[in-house]
Amino acid sequence: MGKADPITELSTQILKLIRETEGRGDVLRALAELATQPNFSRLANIWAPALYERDAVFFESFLVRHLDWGQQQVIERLLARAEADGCDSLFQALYPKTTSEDAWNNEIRQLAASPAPDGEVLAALQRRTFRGIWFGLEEETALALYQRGASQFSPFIMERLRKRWWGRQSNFATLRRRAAERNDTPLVLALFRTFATSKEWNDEIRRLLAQSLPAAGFVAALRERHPAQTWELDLAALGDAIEQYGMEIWPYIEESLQWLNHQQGKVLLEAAHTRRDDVLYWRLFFRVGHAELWNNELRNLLQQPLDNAALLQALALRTPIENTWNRWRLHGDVARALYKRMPGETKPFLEQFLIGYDEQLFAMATARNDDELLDFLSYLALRELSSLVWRAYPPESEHRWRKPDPKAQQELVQRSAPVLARFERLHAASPARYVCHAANVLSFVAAFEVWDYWRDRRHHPVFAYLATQHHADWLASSEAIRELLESPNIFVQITGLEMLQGGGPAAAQRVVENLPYMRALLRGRARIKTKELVLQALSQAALHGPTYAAAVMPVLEEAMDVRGRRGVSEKAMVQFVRTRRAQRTGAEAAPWK
Amino acid sequence: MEVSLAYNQRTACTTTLHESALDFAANLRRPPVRFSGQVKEPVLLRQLMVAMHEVVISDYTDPWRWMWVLDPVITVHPDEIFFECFSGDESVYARLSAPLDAFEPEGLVQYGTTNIDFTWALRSSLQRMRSSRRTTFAVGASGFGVATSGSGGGSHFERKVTLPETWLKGFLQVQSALALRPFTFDVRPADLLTMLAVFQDQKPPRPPHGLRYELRPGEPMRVLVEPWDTPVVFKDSSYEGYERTVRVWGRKRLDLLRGVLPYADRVTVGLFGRGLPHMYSCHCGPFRFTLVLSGWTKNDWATGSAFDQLAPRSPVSAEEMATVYACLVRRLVATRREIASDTGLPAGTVEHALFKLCRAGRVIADVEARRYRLRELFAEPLNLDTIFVPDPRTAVARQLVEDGQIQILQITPPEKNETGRRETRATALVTHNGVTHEALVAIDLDGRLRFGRCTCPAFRNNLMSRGPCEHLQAAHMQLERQLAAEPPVAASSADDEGAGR
Repeated sequence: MGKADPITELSTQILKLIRETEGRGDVLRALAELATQPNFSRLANIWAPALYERDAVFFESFLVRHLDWGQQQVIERLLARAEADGCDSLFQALYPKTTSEDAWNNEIRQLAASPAPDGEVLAALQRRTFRGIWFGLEEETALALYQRGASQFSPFIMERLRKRWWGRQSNFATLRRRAAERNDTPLVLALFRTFATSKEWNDEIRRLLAQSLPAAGFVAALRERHPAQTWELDLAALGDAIEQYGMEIWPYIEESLQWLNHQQGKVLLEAAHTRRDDVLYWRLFFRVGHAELWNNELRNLLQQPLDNAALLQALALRTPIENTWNRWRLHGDVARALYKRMPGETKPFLEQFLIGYDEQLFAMATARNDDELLDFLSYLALRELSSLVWRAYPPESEHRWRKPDPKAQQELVQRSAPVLARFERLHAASPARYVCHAANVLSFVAAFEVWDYWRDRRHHPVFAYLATQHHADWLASSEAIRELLESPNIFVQITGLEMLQGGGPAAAQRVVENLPYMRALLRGRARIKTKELVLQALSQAALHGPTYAAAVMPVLEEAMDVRGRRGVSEKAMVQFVRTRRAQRTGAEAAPWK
Repeated sequence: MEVSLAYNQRTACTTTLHESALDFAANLRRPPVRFSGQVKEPVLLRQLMVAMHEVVISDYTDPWRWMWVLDPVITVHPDEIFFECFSGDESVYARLSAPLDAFEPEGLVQYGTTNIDFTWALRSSLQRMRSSRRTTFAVGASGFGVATSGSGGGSHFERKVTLPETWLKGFLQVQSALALRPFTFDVRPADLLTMLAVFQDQKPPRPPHGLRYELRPGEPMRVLVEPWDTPVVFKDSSYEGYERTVRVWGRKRLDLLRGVLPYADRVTVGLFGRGLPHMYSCHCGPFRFTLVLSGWTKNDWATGSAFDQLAPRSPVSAEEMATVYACLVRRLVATRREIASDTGLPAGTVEHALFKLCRAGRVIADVEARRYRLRELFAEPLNLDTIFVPDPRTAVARQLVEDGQIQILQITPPEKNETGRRETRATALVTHNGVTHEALVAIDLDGRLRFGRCTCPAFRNNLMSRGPCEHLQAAHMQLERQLAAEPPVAASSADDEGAGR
């Protein structure tokens, strides 16, 4: 007797499993295993109907997950059964796998012509509306439904109007005419929003303007007629509306015109300018403008003969509400001019919009001994020069394609010099003051600013200075170490942890003061090596005396209980046991490795 | 539903070398709320606010849906300030609360609830908060921030948010869920982190993807992580109730606690039942961050669950609800017993009134403190009849009762309940469309349905995750009728401290 055909064998196995296994959960788990076999999908005509009969609700997710376009016939048969049995959830989940926009329109036309009661037809239509559906009704289909029952089917028609951007275009003229004849205002407006041309829209807006409606009424009318697509819409009539209504138009623009092209923006800005409405102008500006224009406007502003109060007020108007993706970048010359004019008042503005390190501004701030601004500019230098480090000192593994760049190295040294000089001056004057400002520089580093920590520590002059110099002074300052450990950036935290590795009474004291942050690092998603830095610091602190040990040991003990890929390693656990024993006996523990 | 938001400025967090000022812009369309104070633990507050923003923008079904989500609300009460938000996919509710002694209040305080503007830019600014900087927290008290920051062509701005009905319903359902008092127990953060690591570190090869909390008397509680059934024991926990296993889903969203658990001292876990929501309340110093998850991602609150069917059933009139509401307007925060004492209404009536007020978004239940707080989620009262369409199963159940299709076979009073639970159990036969189903219901001393079992297909497929089937509802109604007709039983009412455990 020959060997059984594997497909037949599998088929028998599947049917036996579905029909004879008592627990549905057991069936599901076993099927999940069988589904990994290559022939499983070919037997959909066997297992799909059997599962449906066994329990359509329980096995719905399995059916949906394992049936696809390759099993059209199986799906269509199941759809018919699910629709007849009222399994709407399964129907809606399977329907998208087997239909297309044309097929969908065909089905709807058939439903429109069916003798079934309107309620059933409507339910069938809703069943064919699945999540993420992008299909649109063709005019013929919409007319068929409208003819069948205007009031019953209008809502469905309105939901499924879509303007096509390819192939045969229809502007639904016939349906628009029929709806207007019936005074079906909601449908008329819905069709207008979807299909009106730019000219029709502008004509309609001008017609409304001629009626001199109250502002609220005009805005409501605008919303009712707001086109589905506005990207290429001619906004000339809206410009007229701005001239007539001014700021009262703004709510409509704010909520409805998120994205405007250059020409559209120009039309609206000109209208606001004509009306001499500065507030509206600037709101529109930040919707349609860009950084170059903005900097030009600021230059113009600075040339006007205004006193400080008036300048500040005008600047406030020209300040974007937010600076997402650093869209509004302040140019260096504008930043310098603002700082020169009002150093104190414009600092927050500079901090928000100055993206790049400006050496001339650094020199100006140095001349004024403006430490706060200098801290911020030092941070910008830290960030900007990091890319120069990448050019100057590529990793050895890339030397085949990119050699170290001596020019970049020289530029790195030159551009870092003023910043380093400042650090040296600060430290010479007062180590505590240096540490305070160094911590402030690092406090600007955002949570997800990613560095190549070890490369920068080795080659980035500014970062290397901050991270490796004057550790004793850092450890002497409770606030400075805390500043590092409280940072949302893991690399700044690592900088702090590195400083604590040296041990000693000051380090032990700092560790105890910052136990919540050490604990948070051990519990969080930091890498194993980072956690070992924490454990090392804790362990050394514990060995400094019973007071320190009493505070530190509970944190160490808890860390041993956190398991997982980022949990403490076995090696660390062994070291922990040794530390605990040493702490109890007073013996010296081996260094943490 | 359209909600109109208007702010006179953007929420700002401005930081200098020595100070941070967190100034929340409050919704001008709501009655004014005002608070200002110095924060004692700024870094903790920072971490928890970022975690809350994570909830607002999280959506496990549509990553862009956060763009129309309602701004978080903040409530200022005499003893506490708390923020609330709801995720775009309607599956996660978060609450961040702080007692007033986590601040050093300054100036005038105006109690109430309002929306706050909370943006990505604010989230970035929050990261500069440090314990070394004097940090001021203010709501509705402008005057902080510098004139040059964030004016943008006039500082006033408005926004209209169209809330889908499902989102709205989901948000309200979670309020009613909290009023049902889940079973709670404390766990160590390290144990919860270990549990998360089990399914975060490896992709499950196949379903199921649930968590099974196993509760055995005399043993530490533990959870099994499916499909590997890896046990995680909650050390230092103990359990003395009846043996049970509670299976929940939607564990993926526990990832939202990754920024919170490292700072937590302990976590209170709350379980409502199999397939029902589960709650995780992280105690971080003086703050509390509570995450409530629906049964599973697709079983969002709005369409799947039906908590009102598990609600207390004592009748409550509109006048009684108004009385309870007025009591909370006076007190702002109170226990159920205090409200009953103030109003003179029976405990069951008060409980049902509070449940309905929670569902209407006018009151919030503080699960751990066992108190209720006045909190108006929206500026205008909602028309709940349009939001909560009556469950058709309830109408069917009423008809079955009227038609005499329910036969109660046995009633076991609480004192004779062998499980030790303070519940009245009843078995019944329910005949519906010619088919007879066996139903078992258990109600607590407040008349709430705590457990049910039925032999009908709907129950077999969904258990209680979509609310009780019509047969269980009918058996519940019939049991209540019979108990009402019987002489009153001298049993103490479920008190605020012990109920639900």
